[in-house]
Amino acid sequence: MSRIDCHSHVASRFWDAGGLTPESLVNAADKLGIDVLCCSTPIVRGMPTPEEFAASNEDLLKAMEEYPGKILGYCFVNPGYQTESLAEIERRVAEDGMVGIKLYNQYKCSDPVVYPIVRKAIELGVPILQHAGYLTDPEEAALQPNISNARDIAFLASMFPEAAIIEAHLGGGGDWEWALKNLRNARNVYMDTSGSVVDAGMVEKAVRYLGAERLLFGTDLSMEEGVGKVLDACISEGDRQLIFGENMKKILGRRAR
Amino acid sequence: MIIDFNAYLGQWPFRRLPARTADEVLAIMDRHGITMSAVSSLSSVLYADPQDGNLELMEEIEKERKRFVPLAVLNPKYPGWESDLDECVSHGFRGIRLYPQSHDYALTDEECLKLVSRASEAGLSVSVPVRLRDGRGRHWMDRARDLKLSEVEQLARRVPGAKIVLLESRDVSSSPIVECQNVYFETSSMPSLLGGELAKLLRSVGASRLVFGSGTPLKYALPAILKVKLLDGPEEAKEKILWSNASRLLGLG
Ligand SMILES: [Zn+2]
Repeated sequence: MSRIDCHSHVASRFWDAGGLTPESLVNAADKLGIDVLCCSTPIVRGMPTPEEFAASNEDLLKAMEEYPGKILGYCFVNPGYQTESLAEIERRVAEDGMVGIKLYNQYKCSDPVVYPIVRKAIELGVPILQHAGYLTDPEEAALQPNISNARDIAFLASMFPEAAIIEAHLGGGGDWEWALKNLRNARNVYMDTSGSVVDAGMVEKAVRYLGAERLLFGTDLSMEEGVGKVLDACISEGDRQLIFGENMKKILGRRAR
Repeated sequence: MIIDFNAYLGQWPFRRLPARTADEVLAIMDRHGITMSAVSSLSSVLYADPQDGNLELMEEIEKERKRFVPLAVLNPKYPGWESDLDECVSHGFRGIRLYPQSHDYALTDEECLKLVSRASEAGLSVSVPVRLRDGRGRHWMDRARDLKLSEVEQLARRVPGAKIVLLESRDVSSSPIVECQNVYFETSSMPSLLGGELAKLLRSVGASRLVFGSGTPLKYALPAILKVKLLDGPEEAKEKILWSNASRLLGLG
């Protein structure tokens, strides 16, 4: 049964990821039985320009070409540059074969500036992986004033019921119980399990609140944590397979070709 | 054989834990092939008098003394720790755990130095967690901050006879604390793949000062096990990490 990591990264000219190379990433994935890595190269601070996000995506494309079918890509854009973002998404998805859109913390996802991006995602049949967190520690929150939280994501999802929106990192976005309670009724929101946090019971509770159909296995480069928490969770084998790969496979299958 | 140096029993007030009793934690240990766990009372982290938690722990593990090794939580700022320590030693506790962030003191405070010296003279190791949960999502009543490595380093230097186990070690390989030969590092928060912290530490300090822990029942146990199993190193190193270092620290022979 396949394991698809729906939240991973490769290094770019803007972030060296501690010396991470596509090869070292694929080797680590092989050790953990991860078959496919859906990666992105977001620029995580400031307001990246169209030239910058295009360059960052170019670096991702190189990794995809090095490992075709193994490393897949999400196109990263800054929604503040609307025309350029839409053109970049069009080009990366239609021509370069990217499979989704990655949004970071430049704008809250409930900001209308994001809506054209969501319409584009629906048109192309690709998911949006939204960086997110509910950071209860004021010092942590101050570092990312525009980070989206589960409430923002649920709001966006209600505006665009046909969109597939993935809330990033159950285990890397602060209070995950707060997130689950907000997402319970947001039927078109998925959550990925990635991040370094491995609080016992978190996957079980996520299954209880969202259903296994809305949970996607991911690592965000926390490799042993990512695989370990899904394997360790007391859930049915069927649910585990949904989380490890079947759900994501279905999402990837919706892409307009 | 696996000895888990970082495990707990008791109540954690900020979140419902899936396992709280000795039986529930034993089931986790059995599932993962963990032979023995060094446990302390989670309740003692927030009780004003931590000794009550230590006594609760005693009762809880009474029938399973071959699987659980008790560690005492003591607060050097609260009266009576001297006799509490003696009582715990007489009950067979094999080490102490300190929570300076929750109990509101510094490791270098006079009373704490006294406690650490006394415990060390009694042959007990001293474990201190960097933190008990990820700070990004901490509960509004949970004020504890991550422990500063410099504080642990000072303690190690001021009480050179102490054997200090830093639980939930992270980002230590580039800190001067690795120079302190009396400081051990628990492995659960250190990845080994992608050139992670555990791989770095194995190269820089060697296997003798690395001690396996899982964080059960606060954390899933399997990620911690995978980190050691996937570590790029000789089998003997992994044996040291998984049980023999812990066995020595706990005085199990
Ligand atoms: Zn990420």
